[in-house]
Amino acid sequence: MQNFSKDNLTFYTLIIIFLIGSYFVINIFSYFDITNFCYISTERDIVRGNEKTIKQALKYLKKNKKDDYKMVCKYVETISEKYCIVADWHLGESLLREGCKLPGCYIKGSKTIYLKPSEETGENIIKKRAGDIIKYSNFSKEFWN
Amino acid sequence: MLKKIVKISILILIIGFFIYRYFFYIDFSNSCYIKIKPSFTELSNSNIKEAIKILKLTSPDEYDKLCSNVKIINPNLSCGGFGGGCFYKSSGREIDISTAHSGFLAQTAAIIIHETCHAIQYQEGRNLSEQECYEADDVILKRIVEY
Repeated sequence: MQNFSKDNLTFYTLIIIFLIGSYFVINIFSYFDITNFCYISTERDIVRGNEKTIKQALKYLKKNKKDDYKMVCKYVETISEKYCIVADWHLGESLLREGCKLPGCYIKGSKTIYLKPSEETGENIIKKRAGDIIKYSNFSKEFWN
Repeated sequence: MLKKIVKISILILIIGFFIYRYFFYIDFSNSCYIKIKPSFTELSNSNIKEAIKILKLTSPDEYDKLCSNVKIINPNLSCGGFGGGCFYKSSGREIDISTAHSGFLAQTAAIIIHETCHAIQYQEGRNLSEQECYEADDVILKRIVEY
């Protein structure tokens, strides 16, 4: 009986270690808030981006704008750092520049939003990204409703 | 013996699911069946499948044209270069879409429409005009990117 309990204890301890490990690994490559069942894949621009401020923006929303945070969790699956392309640049280079200037965009028919790459750190960029995430998440909400 | 059959069946199901998940786009309700070849450079099949689903939801007419005129998508690097597309007359109903796994989804959708436009031109015996296809993908980009 004592051996059985020891085996069980080892087994469950290993499972708990595995789950905690997985949680941290998942959070390296994406945003996972287990308490709100909120999983959002995050992708950074390797050269000009900073994935950390996307996650910090999501944490900022969780703390300060709970309703918006719930909406983001429901209508967004991926947040990616990328310049938006809003038209075919073969028909005019100015259109390409217009897209690059945008703070971000939402792609209709998806649950993906894009944010303009930024290496900036600090409170300003976190708040700005939080605002952009809300704006584009609302577009996703409008589409799926 | 029964255990063996169950194990083999599960294995076949897993392999079948994997093949379906990455190498086929199937939409029974619209009779749309597109094979997506393996890509070893970008592993972009899921990006292509998501772009097709976006077209289905946002541009039903263009989606119908894709389903009617394209049977195979080759995601490997082609004459369009990285992030581009290509259509070879010899390929008939096959188009090349060389976008990345994490590529901009709207761009993937636009390139699919651009190359579908060339496939239609070819099947109708017309010249492969770039201008017509730039305009077709431009319409898609303006329709699906919201900012």
